[in-house]
Amino acid sequence: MNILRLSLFKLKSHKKEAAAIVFLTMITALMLAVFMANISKANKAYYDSFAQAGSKDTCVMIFKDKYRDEYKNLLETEFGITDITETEAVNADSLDYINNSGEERTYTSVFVNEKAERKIEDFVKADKLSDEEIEKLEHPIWLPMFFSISEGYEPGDTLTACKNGREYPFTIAGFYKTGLYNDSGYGYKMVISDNDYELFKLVFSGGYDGECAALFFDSEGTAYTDEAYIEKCESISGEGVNAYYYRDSVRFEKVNSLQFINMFMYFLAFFSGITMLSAVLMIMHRITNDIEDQMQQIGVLEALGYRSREISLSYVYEYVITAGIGAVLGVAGAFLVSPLMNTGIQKMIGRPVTVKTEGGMILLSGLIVVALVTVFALIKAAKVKKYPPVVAFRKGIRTHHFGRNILPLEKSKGNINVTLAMKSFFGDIRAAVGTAVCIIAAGTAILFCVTTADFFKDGINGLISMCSYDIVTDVELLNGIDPYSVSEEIAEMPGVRKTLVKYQPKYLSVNDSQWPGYTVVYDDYNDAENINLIDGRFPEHDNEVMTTVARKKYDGVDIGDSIVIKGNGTETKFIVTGMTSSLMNNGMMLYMTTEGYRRVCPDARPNIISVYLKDGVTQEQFEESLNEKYGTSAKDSMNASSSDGTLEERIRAAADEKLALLTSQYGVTNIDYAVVIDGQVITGNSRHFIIKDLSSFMSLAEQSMNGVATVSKYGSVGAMIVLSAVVAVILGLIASSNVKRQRRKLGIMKGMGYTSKDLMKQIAIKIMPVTIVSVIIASFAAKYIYSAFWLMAFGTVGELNIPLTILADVILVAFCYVVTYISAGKIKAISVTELMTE
Amino acid sequence: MASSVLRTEKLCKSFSNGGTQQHVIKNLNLDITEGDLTVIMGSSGSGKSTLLYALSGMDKPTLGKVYFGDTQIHDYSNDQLAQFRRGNCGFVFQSVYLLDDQTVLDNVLTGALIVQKNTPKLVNKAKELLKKVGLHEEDWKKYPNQLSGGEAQRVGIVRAIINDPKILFADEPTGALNSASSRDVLDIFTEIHKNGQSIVMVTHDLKTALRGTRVLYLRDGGVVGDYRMPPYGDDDGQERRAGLTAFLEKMGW
Repeated sequence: MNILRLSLFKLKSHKKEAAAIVFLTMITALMLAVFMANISKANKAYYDSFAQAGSKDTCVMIFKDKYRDEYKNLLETEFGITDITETEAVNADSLDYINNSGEERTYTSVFVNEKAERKIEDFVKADKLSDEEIEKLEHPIWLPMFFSISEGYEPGDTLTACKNGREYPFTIAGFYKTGLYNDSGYGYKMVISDNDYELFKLVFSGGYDGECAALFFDSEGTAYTDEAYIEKCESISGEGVNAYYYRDSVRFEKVNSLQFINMFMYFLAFFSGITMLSAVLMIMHRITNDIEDQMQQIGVLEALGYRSREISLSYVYEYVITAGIGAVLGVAGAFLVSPLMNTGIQKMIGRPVTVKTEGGMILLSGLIVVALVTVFALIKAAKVKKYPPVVAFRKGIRTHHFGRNILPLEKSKGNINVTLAMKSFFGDIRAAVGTAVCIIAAGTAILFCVTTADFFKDGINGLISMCSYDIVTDVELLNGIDPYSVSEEIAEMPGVRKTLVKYQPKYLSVNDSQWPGYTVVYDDYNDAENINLIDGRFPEHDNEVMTTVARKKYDGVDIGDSIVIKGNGTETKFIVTGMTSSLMNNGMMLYMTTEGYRRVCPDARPNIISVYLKDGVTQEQFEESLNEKYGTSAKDSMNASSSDGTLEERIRAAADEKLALLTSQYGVTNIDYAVVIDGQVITGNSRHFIIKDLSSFMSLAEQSMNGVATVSKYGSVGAMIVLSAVVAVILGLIASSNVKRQRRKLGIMKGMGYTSKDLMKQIAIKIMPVTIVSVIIASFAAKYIYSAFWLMAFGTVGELNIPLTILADVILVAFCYVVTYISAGKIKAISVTELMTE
Repeated sequence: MASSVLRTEKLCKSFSNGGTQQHVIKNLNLDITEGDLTVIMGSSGSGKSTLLYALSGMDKPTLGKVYFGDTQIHDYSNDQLAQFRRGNCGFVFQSVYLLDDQTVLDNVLTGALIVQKNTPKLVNKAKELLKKVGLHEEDWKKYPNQLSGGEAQRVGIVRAIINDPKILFADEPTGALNSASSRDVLDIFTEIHKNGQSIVMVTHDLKTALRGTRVLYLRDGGVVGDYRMPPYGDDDGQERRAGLTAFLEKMGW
């Protein structure tokens, strides 16, 4: 009890230091608790939602016209999977929608009718309109929970699908629980009426769209892999199944959705590690100083009969109490933050989080913090044993110096404050190790955050630059239209810088890889503007391909290697000539020449014009001028109202609408019509329909990346502020500890005529060597971690911004100097006689 | 007539102690003459050291004025006082207060380099002064813990005079020394004083006081006696001793 009282007394006299340690341990406990309580939440939410929906864990969809019953049988014969649900679904890739607020959104959609949904899952409805209201709906749609949780839709809202310029308005009947197809990468399963389903079977055909045979089954615990399955399918059909095959599984959706959450969580763990390390080092530093400062007091206590173990415990209790307060505050914070975390995780994964608060984990994290502090405090406080009473009375050997005189003043040059600071630094270099570790750890994280914040400062522009994909507006032409002549016409339009004729991108299989590649094709890569060559060279010949660092990481494919790319019934060997990195398709891209692409897909025809707009020209402005030039495009015609104007105008509008539908959906290339009304002949043809659809890479990127960019930007700035506060606290503790430890010396120097500012400068300059070296080490560490992070998280190469890092280094060093200088300011408040006679 | 080097007007210094004010120096008017070795004596708690620190700009007075020549120093900030001290004052303390982590020579130079540039002349001066007080080359690289009390105090004296201060302040410089060391140290002070150095020294030792030219006696924060010592004669200091003893007896010492 006496020992505890002694600890409380010490605590009272070290209020500021105690507050700093409370801050560090609070931050540590908070971040650790949030990490431990939430790391498994999202994962559990997945399995819970699959269980609640009665969903299988895997699905493959194959275009119906390509599907064979043997494909289903293969699952049983080759992989032992017997419980297979077979049904139909319409796949609509990157389908544009207009929501209730008139905003454009793009969702890859998988449409099923209610009968199919009940075969696939239990069709568990959540929030919905009343049965009477649903009855009255002409076009009801049931959406997966993502739309309610993440997108904020409500029952009764309208959601209008737009295809080929035609609008298909739906009213949201409600939301239902689903396992598969509740993910931005793999699409959303939407339940629509039988009539709408039949219509969509017609509307969505061609390209990546169309009705598919869908097989739902549980693959976990079996030998099933997509790669093996496709190989088997292809071996029995002789066709390139991958070209018309879609897959989804709980594993894929988790990888896609949890990537960002896990990244955030591991960052929290990393940061809590840094603050924990700082707190422990500071506590050890403080205990060492306390023991040295209170040596005579230790001698007195020992002489009075206190055992050294008891005296050690008085130091340990002091810091355990301090860390305990910090841990309690951190744990309380974690409990407060928990509902926010649940909301955040739900929004990110679009699934309800069923575990509300992991109270046990939160409490455990607090205990871990206290336990670590206790262990390290015990280790350091054991030093008391070294000092029996007589030695303690003599203040140990603290003031004894026998070593070499480093930087003798008679040979010194320049400022005396710098010289004395350096002398002091070299004389106490061991104490700098702890400071160095703290600055390296916090500095690495700060520099990482600086680069991340800079990368995201202009929203998604940074991410766009790492896509290795040109920022273009793709104009898709109707069948039969000569792309080269239209390309020339568009190139002449105001606001257009240049145009290139392209092929529709495809996902192509690569032999011995489970990762299909998304194709990028150029006649000449000198025309490409946003493809960053990392190593080697761009492909120039028809047997050359450029791949990515992600493929190198996952498949081991390097420059000079050969890969076999599978098309529709073809297998073609390519030599890898270069390496880039891309944020798209998990970094799995294939860059080929036009001739190379034709070897893989001999039946493909170019039907895309990639339009490069001039600076300052918006997508809307371009669309407007494009509509002016090709005024009666399929899109415009299908949207045109036929209720206004004269009878002849209304008839022409109605005819144009029909022509647009036929040309865009059925590949009809030329139609003539003639209508006779009251003896008047109204004629027309489809030759003025040229453009099928427009898509802007920038718009798509904005929709999918804006959230990540915003969270990353503000998260980085927030982390930077917290970490800077940690550095400030550490340096403040070191500075105040130095003042306290060197009161006598500082008093003597004040007596000699050194001003408080001189002495503050000396204390600040003393930490500069360790700060500068630590910041340099931190820069290299940040470069390595930043690069590893981008490769792991996005399959791309992240480079530290060198000039910015150097600037940040300088600011960090200056920050450390200023914080230490200010923290040493307590010298000012102490009179020279008071300091000297302490 | 020698001019005044240090002067106080109604100097007061008080300390707050548990909520009550303790007035240590009370309305003290004092003149310190250039070239004097002024000795301040008094019983314990009479305010000797407090006066010394207030005179030297080590501490700020609570009230009153301190003039160093024509310069008012009583309203200086702490940093201004430090800058003032470095050019004008030297200090020798009972506890010596050497910097433990610096060698003998570095202790001297630390005091010098805040005022002067590092030149061979300065270093030679430091070495010459050390030699003069009996510390030779083999001692210069020693650390304070390797020195005897007398040796340490001699280093303290060299450190105090290296910048040629206008006044040298000494607070019981022999208080912690044995008699032989005390004598050596006092001889050094006498030697320095003979060279024209103004010295203000606090002591309660008669032998030390005998080295002075003027003795002030403090009681309850005020100067109650001011004795001008007779010059050295041929009587081996008998007259000085007798005069000082009589003065101190009169003061109730």
